[in-house]
Amino acid sequence: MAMMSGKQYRESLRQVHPLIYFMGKKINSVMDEPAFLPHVNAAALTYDFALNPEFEELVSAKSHLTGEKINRFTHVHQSPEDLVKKVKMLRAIGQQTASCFQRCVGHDGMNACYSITFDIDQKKGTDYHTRFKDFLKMVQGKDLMVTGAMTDVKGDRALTPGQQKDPDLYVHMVDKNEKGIFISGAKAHITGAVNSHGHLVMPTTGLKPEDAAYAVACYVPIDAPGLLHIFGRQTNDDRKAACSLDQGNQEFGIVGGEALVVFDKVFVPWENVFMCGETEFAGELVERFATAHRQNYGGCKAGVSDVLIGATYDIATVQNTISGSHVKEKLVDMVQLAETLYCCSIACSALGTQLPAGNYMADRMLANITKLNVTKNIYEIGRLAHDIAGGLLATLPSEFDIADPKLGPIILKYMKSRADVPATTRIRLLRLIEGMTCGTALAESMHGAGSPQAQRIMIGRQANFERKKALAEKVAKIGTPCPGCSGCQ
Amino acid sequence: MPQRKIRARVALKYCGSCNPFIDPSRLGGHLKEVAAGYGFELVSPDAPHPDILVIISGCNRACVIKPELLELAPKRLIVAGETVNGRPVPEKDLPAALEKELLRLLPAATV
Repeated sequence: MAMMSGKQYRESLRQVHPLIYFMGKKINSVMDEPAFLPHVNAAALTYDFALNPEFEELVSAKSHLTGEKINRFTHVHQSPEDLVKKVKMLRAIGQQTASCFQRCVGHDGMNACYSITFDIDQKKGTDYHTRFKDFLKMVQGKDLMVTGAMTDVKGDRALTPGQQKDPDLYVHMVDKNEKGIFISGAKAHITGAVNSHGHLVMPTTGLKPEDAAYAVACYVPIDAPGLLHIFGRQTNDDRKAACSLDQGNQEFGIVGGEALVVFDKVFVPWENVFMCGETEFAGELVERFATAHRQNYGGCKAGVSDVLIGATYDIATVQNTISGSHVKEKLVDMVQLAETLYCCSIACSALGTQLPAGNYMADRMLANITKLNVTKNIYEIGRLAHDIAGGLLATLPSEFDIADPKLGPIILKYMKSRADVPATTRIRLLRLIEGMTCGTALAESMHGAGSPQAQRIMIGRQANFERKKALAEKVAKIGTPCPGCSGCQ
Repeated sequence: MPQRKIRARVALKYCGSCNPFIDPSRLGGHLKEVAAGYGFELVSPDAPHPDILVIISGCNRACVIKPELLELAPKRLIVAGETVNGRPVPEKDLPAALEKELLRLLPAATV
């Protein structure tokens, strides 16, 4: 099989049997759990679009390993143009889902592992890169959805992995034999975890030699024995189970669908192990993954913001406030904030560089600037949407009351704004804006791809303040004689 | 229903629609209807020897256009945002303008 359709992707989820719990109950079928379906729907679009003539230019690519046409979410970037196309692809899909479609995390993990395994082999004489290429061919050939399982639960943040009282607070190798390794621990808030085919496990931080057991990168199928998924709560849980109109974005939800993934002595055969003890490469792997992932956010968030800006423009039209100059000004500000993010993502992609393995990575500084802007701009875009939409955003009656024969007509009478627009149009728009700005979605913009302080650390490392200081001293002519002065004191 | 039948292969290439200013799928849908009416073949850009290449770009940047793409066919019809072969056309008139320009180009490409 080359590329799967959305339908084939859904069917493939029925062929695996992961252990999943949600809200205190065991979930036997991902495809039959209402809480998961929006995330399945969003991911399915990444499959359908690769086969859709309108989008295939961006969502498909040619494998450098096999020459076959593949889904871009399984592609290793071969040029800056590939990097730019990834960002454009994310915007295109974001405009259609208005929510996270999850598949970029594993994509970025695969790009990071592709390059780091090459570097490890060069220095250590290992064969990780060959293994990884074989794995990648399998992923491309089967068109698998792979998570990027990086973030450990981390325990006491002041302690290193090896200093934790409980060693399982970072995923680590607990045993190994001639067939493979066994890993234990947990990865937190893993996007798309329950509706993927497997997890690409990576270390979460730079490591010291004494933490060799924590320097593990490997692939684990979603239904591997010993693997447990606990799906996270979202602010729209109840609405997903019982509502349509009140969801706002019924088809695609509000975020990616994150889970706590627990590994209890999970066996990984050697062919799926891509790092095992090489601590000196852990930090670089994290930085490459972070760069690739932070590169994305001006793509998908711009696409999602396009929908939010559209909804805000629409609600201002429906409520007839659109002619106010302050409303127009705020709408323009929303566009400026969203396009700033897109500018950042395009720029860091266009200035991408080649790694020793031959693949390309976005510019580190500009990718981190992109994500740090996302932690601010998306909140501001949401704030402006709230400002324009009005307080009804937070006080609307529920769809159950609208459906009530006695209450419904009363609600629709009093929720009407412009006489020629149905009240339900206004309600639907407000629910969409609510879902996109009032709950879990905003926190995702803050912490997805790393919290803002992580971006500041990487920006600070690359800022080269000494060079900037030298530039300033040159312009200020520091060190040259001042007029009327015989020399500096 | 058109009286004239045209034997030709028309390749359709979309830009990828990252942030389209117009509705590319609406134009593509209209092109399908025109093809069905006149009986010409609408093929993918990978198909061999098209007579005309139609490129539908969602905006006027038309970043999908590369020299190797333009070499696919001897004649090209490029919709880029609100333009048809460089001529400004309002979005509402794009389907008709696309059809008119295509029919102008097609007879010479009849095989």
